[in-house]
Amino acid sequence: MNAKIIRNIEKINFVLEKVSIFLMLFLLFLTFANVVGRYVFSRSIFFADEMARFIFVWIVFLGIAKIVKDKRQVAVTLLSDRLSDKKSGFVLESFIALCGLVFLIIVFLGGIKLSRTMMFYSSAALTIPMGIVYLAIPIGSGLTVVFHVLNYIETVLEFIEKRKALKPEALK
Amino acid sequence: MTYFIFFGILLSFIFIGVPIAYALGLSTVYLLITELEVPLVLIAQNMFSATNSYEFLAIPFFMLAGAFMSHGGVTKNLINFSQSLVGHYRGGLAQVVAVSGIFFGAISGSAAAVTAAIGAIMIDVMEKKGYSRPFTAAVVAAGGMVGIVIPPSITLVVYGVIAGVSIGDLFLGGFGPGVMYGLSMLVLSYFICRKHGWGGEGSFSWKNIGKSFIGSFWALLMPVIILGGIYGGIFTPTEAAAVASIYALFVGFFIYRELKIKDLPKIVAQAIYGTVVIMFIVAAAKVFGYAITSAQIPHKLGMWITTVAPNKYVFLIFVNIILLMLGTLVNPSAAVVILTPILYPVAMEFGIDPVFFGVLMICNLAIGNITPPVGLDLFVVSAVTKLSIDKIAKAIYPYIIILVMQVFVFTFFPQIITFLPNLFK
Repeated sequence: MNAKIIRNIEKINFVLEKVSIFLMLFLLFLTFANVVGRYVFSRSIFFADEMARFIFVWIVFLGIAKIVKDKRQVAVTLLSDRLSDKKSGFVLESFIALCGLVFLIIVFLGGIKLSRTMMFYSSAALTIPMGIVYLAIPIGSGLTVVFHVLNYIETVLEFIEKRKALKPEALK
Repeated sequence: MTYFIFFGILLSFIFIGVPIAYALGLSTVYLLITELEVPLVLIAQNMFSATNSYEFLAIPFFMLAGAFMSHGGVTKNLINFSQSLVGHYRGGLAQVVAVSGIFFGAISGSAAAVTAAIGAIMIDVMEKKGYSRPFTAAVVAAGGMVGIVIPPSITLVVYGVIAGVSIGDLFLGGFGPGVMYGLSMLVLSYFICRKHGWGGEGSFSWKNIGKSFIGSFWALLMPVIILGGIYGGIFTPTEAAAVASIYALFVGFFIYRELKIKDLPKIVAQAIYGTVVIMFIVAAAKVFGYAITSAQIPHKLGMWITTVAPNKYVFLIFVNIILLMLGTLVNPSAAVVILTPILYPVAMEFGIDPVFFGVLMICNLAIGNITPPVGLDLFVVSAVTKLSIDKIAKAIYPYIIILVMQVFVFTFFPQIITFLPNLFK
């Protein structure tokens, strides 16, 4: 694949991971501070609960892109392991990839619609437009679609390579 | 007919290897379009509301707490403490693994983490003392699997949030069966080691116990903080997990001093993506749960089961069998996410205690962690020992058998699970 595209994808991936790590540590200290505040200063942080939920939504939807890229989704791989390197295995992979694409696009389109509607509602504590929180869905699943498609392209290229490598022997 | 196609899509997709989140989502799409006639935007909406949850935030926090502790240098101390308690018995090192599994389970929320931590130290030590390699691998894998039953447990958090059952009660409920699992392995290892003539190490002394207890004290205090905090009404499970993480950070940096700042990003990233793997399925399953409830599938299934199964024991045996089989194919959290919306309402119709039902589910699914071909713990020990899964499988079957027998004991004596939660009510 185009080396420049790969480099840019890796860059996005790197930034995503760093941002998620920062957000998670922030969440940890926010939650801890809320407990300390409640008992030591008898005052809780009124937006802590809501802010934690919203950041968690972002972490999860951005994280989905990352786990799809790394092929870490939970799946029963008995059949695909057995068929790997075979033509039928490739057909199966393609079908699975298609399933993923359909589902992710449904989520992506739903996410766009939702975040547009939700821009007009504000959250209870932070009073920010809910649409900003909902934006995690289209942005996360949009990235996921990109990674998903790139993964599939890689699978196709690998399959073609393997076929090529096999051909000379088949001709003999 | 629609329902048959619906479950047909779900099961065949899962079986051919479509990632579970997609299989749940797409089978639901079918049901939404044909039966319920609601817009597909509902899928994104439900995924959002599933993740917009303060309670699920407990999952990454518990993962962090366990990881900070084990990277902080607590492993050696816990193993030393276990050694001082049971090391002198016949097959001492195998016993040490089982006991460390129980202790480690109490600071870690997942089985694979426990297996990896104990395996990293004990596999070498056991081999040097002449234990056979497959036996060593089997003992470590089995010893680690209790980590998912003994609180804190990620899978129990998942069940608790989905079913709306108190996580504190579930945690206490996991103690009894978790400890029983661990102790039963201890007994089994004793007999296996006697047959092979593997002896004990060192001798029993109160002085050693005292000394190594002081070394593990800070680690063993963590479960006390978590359960005490939740039960004392001091904080919610999510907050308990956050406090435990901060505590583990403190202990790792200042007491055991093996935690390094530069390790933090990697540990946090592991916790994040471990969580996301579960949350992706949870999110996709939320709309699945909504759809089957709207179509009244659990209700209809319940009516059917109540006519087939004369009492709750028959139902529970049936559930055990399904869970034991499913547990061999998918990881415990994923299985809980798929099955809870279907089975929980039926269990309620039989008047089964929700805490008991949840813990029993996890006791079943935990066994899947050490069952070939895809038990996660087996992969962990297989990577360390370089043994094939088949070789380990032969050595681990005795353990699987005694664990399965215990599941049926729990089924008929629910007090083993409900005793502790009821005591604190």
